[in-house]
Amino acid sequence: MNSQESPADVQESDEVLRILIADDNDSDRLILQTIVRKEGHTVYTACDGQEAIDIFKEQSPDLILLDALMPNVDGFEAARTIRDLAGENLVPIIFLTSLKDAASLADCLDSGGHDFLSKPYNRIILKAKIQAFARMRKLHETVQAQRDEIVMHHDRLLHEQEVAKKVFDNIAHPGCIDAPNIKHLLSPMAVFNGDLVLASRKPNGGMYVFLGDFTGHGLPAAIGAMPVSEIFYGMALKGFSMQDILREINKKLKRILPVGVFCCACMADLSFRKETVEYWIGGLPDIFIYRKANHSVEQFPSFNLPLGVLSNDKFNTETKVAPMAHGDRLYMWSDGILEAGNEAEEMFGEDGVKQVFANNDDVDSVFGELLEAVEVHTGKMEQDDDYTVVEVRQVTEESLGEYFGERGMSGGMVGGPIDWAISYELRPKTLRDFNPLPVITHLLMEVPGLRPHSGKIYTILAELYSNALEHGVLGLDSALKGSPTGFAQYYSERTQKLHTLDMGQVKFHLDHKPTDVGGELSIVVEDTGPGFDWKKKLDDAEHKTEGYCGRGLPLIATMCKSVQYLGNGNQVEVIFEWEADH
Amino acid sequence: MNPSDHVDVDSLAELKDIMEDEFDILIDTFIADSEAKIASMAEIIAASDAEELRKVAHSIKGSSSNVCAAQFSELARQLEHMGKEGTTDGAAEIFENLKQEFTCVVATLKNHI
Amino acid sequence: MAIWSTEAPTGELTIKIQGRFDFSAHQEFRDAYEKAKEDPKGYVVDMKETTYLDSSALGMLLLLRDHAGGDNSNIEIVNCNPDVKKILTISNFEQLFTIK
Repeated sequence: MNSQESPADVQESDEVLRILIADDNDSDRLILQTIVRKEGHTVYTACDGQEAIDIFKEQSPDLILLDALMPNVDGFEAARTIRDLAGENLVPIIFLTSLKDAASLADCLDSGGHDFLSKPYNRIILKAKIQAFARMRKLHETVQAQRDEIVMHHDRLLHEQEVAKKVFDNIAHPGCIDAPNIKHLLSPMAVFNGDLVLASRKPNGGMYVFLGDFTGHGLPAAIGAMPVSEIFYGMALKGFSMQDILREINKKLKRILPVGVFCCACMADLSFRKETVEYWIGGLPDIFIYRKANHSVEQFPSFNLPLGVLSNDKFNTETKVAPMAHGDRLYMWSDGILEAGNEAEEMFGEDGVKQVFANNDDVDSVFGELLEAVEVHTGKMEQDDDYTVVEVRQVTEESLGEYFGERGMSGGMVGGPIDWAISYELRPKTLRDFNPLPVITHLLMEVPGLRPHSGKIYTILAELYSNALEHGVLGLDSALKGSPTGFAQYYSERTQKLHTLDMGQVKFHLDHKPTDVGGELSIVVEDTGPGFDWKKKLDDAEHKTEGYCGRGLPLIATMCKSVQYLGNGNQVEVIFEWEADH
Repeated sequence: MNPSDHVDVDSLAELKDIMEDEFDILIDTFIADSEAKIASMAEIIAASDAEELRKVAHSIKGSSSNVCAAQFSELARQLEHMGKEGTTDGAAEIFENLKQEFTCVVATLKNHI
Repeated sequence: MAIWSTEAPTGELTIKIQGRFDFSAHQEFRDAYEKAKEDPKGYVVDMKETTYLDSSALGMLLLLRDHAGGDNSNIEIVNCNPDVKKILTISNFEQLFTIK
C-alpha cells in the first residue's frame, strides 16, 4: 500500500516535505496521513517495516513517522536500517507509539529515532514536531554543505601546496643535504611549515649547513625560503664566507618580509681539515655537539637576533668557533622538537633531548633514538608544529669523494670545459676592495671532475694572489710578520696601502688541458712589482724549513707538480696535475 | 447510557473537522479493523497465546485512543498488560467487557457519521 | 587568552596578556596599541599572566616595536615567567626591547 498524495494548500513560509508514514493500523494511518497532508506535505505510506525500508530506498523522503510495533520488520529495526542507508544525511525519524513506559520510549531513541509521538495523535504537537525537524534538517544540510566546502578548499590548498612544492624543488638547488655525513628529518611539506635545511660543500673544502625556521606557516614562510635557498647555494658554491652569506640573506629577508615575519636560523661552517665548526645562531634553540671520544655533550646557545629583523648596518655576523673532531656530531633543530607535546601538554623540551644523549651508547644511533623518543613522548599525537632536526658528522674531505649532491655542479667527465685558457687582469681600483678568488674558483669548478681538488686549488690561488698583491703591488715586507707587533703592523699597512692604491696590477693566466687520467692546470700569476731574487730564496728555503714565511712556496710545492718563478721574480707559474676520482 | 461515557464526543467532533470527507471512511475502517481483531483475539485467548494477545491488544489500544474511545482503549490496555506478563488467565472476562464496550462505541460512532 | 590595555597618567600604555600569547591574540594585541587615544610616551608589555609565547607572538612584538617608532621605540617587557623569558632570550630580543 503505497500512495502518494499531492500537497494541498501550502502555507507560506512552510517548507513542503516528503514524509513517509509507516503504521500497520489502517485507521491510525488514515488519521495521520490526513493531518500531515493538510499541513501541505507530500505523503508516502507503508504498512510494515519492510515496506517502509523499500519506500525509503525508492523515494528518500525528508522525514519518517514510524510505528514502533509492526508485523514483519518492526519499527526499531526499520529505523536502524534506514539510518544506515541514510549514511551521513540526516533523516529525522519520529516514532509513533502508544507505549508509555520510559524503557520503551528510550528504545525508540536508541534505535535511531529522533523523537516520538504518542497516541492519540495531537494535531498541534505533530505540526510543531514536523516543523522543528524540518529546521534541524535544514541546519544539518547547511553544516554539511559548509563542511564540504571547507574540505574542498582544504584539498585545493593542499594540492596547490604540492604543486608549489614541486616548483620550489625544481628551482631550489638540492645541495648536498643527502651527503653521507648528514642525517635530517624534514617533513616533505616543511617549506610550508616554514622549515628549511640547506647544505653545501665549499669549493675550498669543508661544508656549510643551514637550518631556518620562518615564523608562521603556509605561503609567507615558503616565499621567504626561496631567496634564502638561492643566496645560500649561489654564494656557497662561489666560495663566499659564512659572514657574507648571512649578511646577504639578512639583507634580502629584511627587504622582502613584512615586519613581524622573520627567520630563526643557524648556520654552521664545518672545517674538515681543521676539525672545527664555526657557527652563527639567531633565535633557534641551543645547538649540541656530541663528542665521539668521551660521549660528552656540549651545547651552544643562540647569540643573535633572527634573520630579517635588523637592517644590515645593525646586523651582527659575529661567529663562534668550537672544536669538532672527526666522528663528532653537530645537532641543530627547530623549536618544534622541544615543543612537541604529549597528551598532558608537557613539552619534550631540552631535558628530553639531554636524556636521549645520556641513554645513548652508540653515537651512530643517536639520531634514530632522538626521533623515537619524540614519538614515544607525543604518543603519535598530531604535531602542533612540524619539527626539523639535522645531524652533521665531522668527516674528512676525502671520505665524501665526488659527492656534491644529486645535481652537483659537475657530475662525471661528460661535457663541460676541459680545454681552455683565460687571462684576468685586476687593476688598482679593483684590487682595493675586490676578492677575485671566489670568481676564479667558481670558473675552475666548471671543469668536470676538478671539484674534489677545490680545496688545494683555492689554497694555491690564495697564496699566489696574496704574494702578488702584498709583496708585488703593495711592496710589503714579509719579514715584518716575524713578530706579533710586526704582524699587526703588516696588516695595518696592508689596509692603508690598499685603500689608496692607484697603480699596479695583478694578472692571472689560467690554462687547463685534459690528460688521460684527469687534467693539467697551469696558473700563472704576474704582478707589476719589482720582483725579487727568487734563486736565492729557493736555496734558502731548502735549508730553512722552520720559521719560513716568505712567499708560501713550501706549502704550494707539496700540492703541485711544479712551481717556478719566471723573469725577475714578479711572475710565478704553478702546474697542478690532477686525477679524476672515480 | 450516555454516549460520552464511551466516546469523547468533543474530541470526536474535532477529529471529524480534520478528516472532513474521510471521516466516514475512517470510522468504517476502524470498525472493520476492530471487528477483525476482536475475532482473532477470541481465538488467541482460547489458545492461551499471551504474546499474540499482547500484540493485538496493543494495536486496539492505539487505534481506539485515536477515535477518542477511552474506555475501550483502557480495556485493551489491560489485556495488553496481561499478555506482557505472559498470562491469559482472566483474559476471557475482560474480553467480554471489551466486546460489550465495542458495541457501544460502534453505536456512538455511527451516530456521528 | 585575554588582553587589556591601560593608559597611565604619565603617558605610558600598558598591555597585559593573560594566558597563551600566540597567533590567536593577533587582532586583540594589535587593537590594544592601535586604539590608544594619544601617542603613548612608552609601552609596557606585562607578561605576568602570560603562560606561553610562540614565534608569532615574537612577530607581534616586532610589529608593536615598528608601530612605536622602530629603533626609537621605548618598550619594556616586564614580569616574564622563566619559560617566556627563555623564548625571548633564545631570540635575543633583549637587543630590541627592555626586558625586566
